[in-house]
Amino acid sequence: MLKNYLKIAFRSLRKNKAYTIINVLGLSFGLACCIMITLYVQEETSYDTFYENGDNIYRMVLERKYPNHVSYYAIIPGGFSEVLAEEISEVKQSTRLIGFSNFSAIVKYEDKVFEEYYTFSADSNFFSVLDFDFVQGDPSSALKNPNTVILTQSTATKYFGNENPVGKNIEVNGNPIEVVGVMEDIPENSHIKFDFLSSSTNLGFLNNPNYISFSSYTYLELEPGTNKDEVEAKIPAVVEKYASSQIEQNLGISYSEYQAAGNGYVYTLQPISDIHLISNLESEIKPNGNIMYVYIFISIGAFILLLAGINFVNLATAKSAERAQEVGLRKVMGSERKHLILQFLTESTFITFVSLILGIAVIQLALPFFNNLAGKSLELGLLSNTLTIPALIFIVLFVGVLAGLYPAFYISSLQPIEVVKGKFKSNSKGKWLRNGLVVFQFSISMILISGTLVVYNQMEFIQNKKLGFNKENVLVLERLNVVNELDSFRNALMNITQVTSVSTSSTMPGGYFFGSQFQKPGESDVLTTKSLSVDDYYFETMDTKITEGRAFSEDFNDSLNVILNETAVKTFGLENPIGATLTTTNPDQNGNILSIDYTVIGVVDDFNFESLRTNVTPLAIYSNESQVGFATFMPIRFESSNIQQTVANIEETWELYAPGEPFLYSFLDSDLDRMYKSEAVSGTLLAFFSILAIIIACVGLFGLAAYMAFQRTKEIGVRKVLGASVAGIIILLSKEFTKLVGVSFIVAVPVSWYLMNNWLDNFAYQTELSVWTFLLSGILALGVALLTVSWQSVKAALTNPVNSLKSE
Amino acid sequence: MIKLTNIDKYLDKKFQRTYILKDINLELEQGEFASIMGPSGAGKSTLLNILGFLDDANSGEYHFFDEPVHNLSEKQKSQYHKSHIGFVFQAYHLIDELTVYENIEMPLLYRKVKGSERKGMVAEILDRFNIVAKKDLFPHQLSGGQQQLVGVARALIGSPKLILADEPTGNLHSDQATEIMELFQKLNKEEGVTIVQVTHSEKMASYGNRIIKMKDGMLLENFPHMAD
Repeated sequence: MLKNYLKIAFRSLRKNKAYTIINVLGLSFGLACCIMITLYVQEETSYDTFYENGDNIYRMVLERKYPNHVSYYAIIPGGFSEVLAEEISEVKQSTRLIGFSNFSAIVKYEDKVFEEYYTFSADSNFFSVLDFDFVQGDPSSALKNPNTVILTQSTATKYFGNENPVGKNIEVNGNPIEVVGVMEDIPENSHIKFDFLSSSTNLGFLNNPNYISFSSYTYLELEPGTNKDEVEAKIPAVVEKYASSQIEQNLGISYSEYQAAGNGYVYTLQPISDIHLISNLESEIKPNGNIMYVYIFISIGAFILLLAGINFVNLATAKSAERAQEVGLRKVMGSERKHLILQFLTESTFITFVSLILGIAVIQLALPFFNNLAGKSLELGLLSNTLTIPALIFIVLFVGVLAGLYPAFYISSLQPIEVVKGKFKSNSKGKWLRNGLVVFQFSISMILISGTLVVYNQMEFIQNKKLGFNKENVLVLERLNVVNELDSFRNALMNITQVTSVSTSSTMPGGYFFGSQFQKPGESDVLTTKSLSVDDYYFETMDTKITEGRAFSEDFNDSLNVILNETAVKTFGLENPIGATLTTTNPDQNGNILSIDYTVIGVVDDFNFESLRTNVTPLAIYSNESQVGFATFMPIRFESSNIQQTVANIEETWELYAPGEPFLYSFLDSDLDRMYKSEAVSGTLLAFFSILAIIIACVGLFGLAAYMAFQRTKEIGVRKVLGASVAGIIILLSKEFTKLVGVSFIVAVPVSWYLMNNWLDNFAYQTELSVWTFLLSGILALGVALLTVSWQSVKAALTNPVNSLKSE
Repeated sequence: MIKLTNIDKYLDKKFQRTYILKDINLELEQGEFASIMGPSGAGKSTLLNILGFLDDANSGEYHFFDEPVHNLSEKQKSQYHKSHIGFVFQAYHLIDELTVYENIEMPLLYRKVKGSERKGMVAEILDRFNIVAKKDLFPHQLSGGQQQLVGVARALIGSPKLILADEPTGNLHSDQATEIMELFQKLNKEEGVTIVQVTHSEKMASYGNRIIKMKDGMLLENFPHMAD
């Protein structure tokens, strides 16, 4: 029986080639999309699931409350790791990972020199918590000694080729370090990434336990069966015990006073396997994913498959008139309804199977492109993964049955008497359903189109938002510590004709800002700010406006002066900021408390020094001349249409002052764009999928229009004979679809308005949702729909009525 | 075998009821070869459809082997279609996507006849109808007469007790029609199959042994045909 079903399915599909092609095309694109999204989602949800005790491993993170805002940090004070393991019995062990991926290190081996971003340090028990595999060396002892490093496999190969790396010496930022082990590369699907891992005993600042300034990624392994809430509940007591004395020592106020003023530390534990999708804090090791995008893509995948399935349902029910004869006949021959249902399900499953084969071909072609867009390295793994083929078979059965179910029940319900009478007309019930499904398809398409437009608008908005500084035409040099004479280097750069201004600073917008705490003399209020240090030319180079007072200047010694941004002034309630004295207290390297008085000499416009997802927070700007000042970055403003020449000139100068050091530069505007990479990627993917969705919807519409035109051939013939014009006929045939697209528009607008409003809430600075976005998406969908339908309409309208009426 | 009592079939339109069949009383014995005749619109086909369980009467009773058909479920009806009734249509109604062999085989599939047995049965009937050479052809590759031959073979393969034929020769020229009618006659005489056909032609009706005349939905006269 099955053989018979398959046979008739195959022959019937072969006979109706156009119908088959439309169905197979739609379904194969839908399946390809859906499978690619599944791969993407699978990869996104597979992060950090490979540790032996993964269920018990948590990262401790901080919600830092300030009187006027809250910040969330992935790094916490280094002192807690050890004391938590001591004080809380449920904590089996705790380990720290330290490193900042936006600071680079220069690594040399013999004559090879590389700039490395992922040189991290860790405690000696790191590998007993996170069991990464070793190729060479002993994980339990590898991190015990200072001046030793473990390399990942690919780093080791990069430096040593086929030589045995263990025992070799490399130089990191000028310090000789011995390679003691090689570990497997950290899998792509981990929130952790490093290429070098040296012992934390190298880091002097960890010697004096600190409980208030943030430095370390801290991972806790809890005793099996422990609920993280229990541990979280015990943390505040530990924080109070250890942090309060340091706060009192630094600020001269009690912990309770400090808390009463609105400050607070809330530590929470993140299950390690959740970090990638739920955690988007400051100072993450690498940009994480976002569970929202996973949900969005799952829905898009489901919708696209649904669209393709709807095509199938629509075409099958529209064509039911042609199948009615066969159905009636089979019933007369004694076929029961279940046989017919089974037959039509076999047919739809068969189509799905053919589509899958084609879909796999589409995936193989599209996956590299998709990977490029999404920044992933996904593969289908047909043979390498034993689960792939069963999963695909499941998909075929699922989609085949789902798409075939309605047509099967509908067609098999046709009565044999209709056949014997020799006439059958598709009834109005089927028409309502088809129209409903077309409306659904176009609503989804419009939602996707308007979603894409909004994402693009927002990206555009971010790129063009006035940031309070001018990000165009700024080239940024890093690692000024390798430059011999910074002042002469700066002067030499200024002599390049295209260069208009050169400055140095501790960080660049979007980078890492250290924290500062200020008090007014004799008062207990604390102002916590983010901080950077800059030289005398910073504001001029960055084109940032000083609204009150003055900038740092060559004419003054600014080592005890500070510039605040407007938010800081407002937050701290400084009525006459210029000349105000602010005291900071910080422990020095030996743990002695140093109190320094700074004078406010200027107020700077609130420029967006962080991502536009957040509002501007208080900022204090020190001079490089001050005790906390240091120069790492060099923004260079230039005026030139010939950027290549400018870069070449700057490089020439660099080689004079930092001979043998690699010349590394970036442009400020593209650095800033990188902060919105995940949004940009999602935007591109969204565009990709909305194009696919509309293609699938149109393929279905094309089939439906072709069918309707075919059905109305006689009507059109009669109308033409009676004097209807070609234009009149085209309008007649297109009118109905236009109405459907109109209804879709009414459905789509509120849904997409709601969804996009939600998405925009991710940003502190939002573009406005404009009516035009929705109108444009509607017009676009209508345009494509009309174009699709008109092909058929024009064809039908131009047919000579003699031909269409001949058969009667 | 068949007993129709007071069968009415009508269409209701606003205030007017149009009768297609009115007060039909008819008995058919096993082994009869009856021809229903009458002008267009007399209700011949409707009557045939009701006889074949394809259409329901609005009122009246229909007993098939003493089974009240008007009370049968869809599933029971399809059981009878499988085992008791064979249809032959004016337009042949072969399935275009199936070959001659597969078309004939189809009813057996629904009766769950085993593969080897099925093969034997189809082979036998192909042989009997002299169409073995055509078994792998598709319907559109055959002439009308040949298609109808396949249609009859398909109706017969299930060894039905009753064959219902709606103008089986309507689309055929006379030589082909004669061939089909002779076949019917032979089946009726040698195998005792009951046959009811609708026809416009006296000549075709003469192959049978009973003529049922209809007009305006009513039976006019109803007598055994004494041809032989």
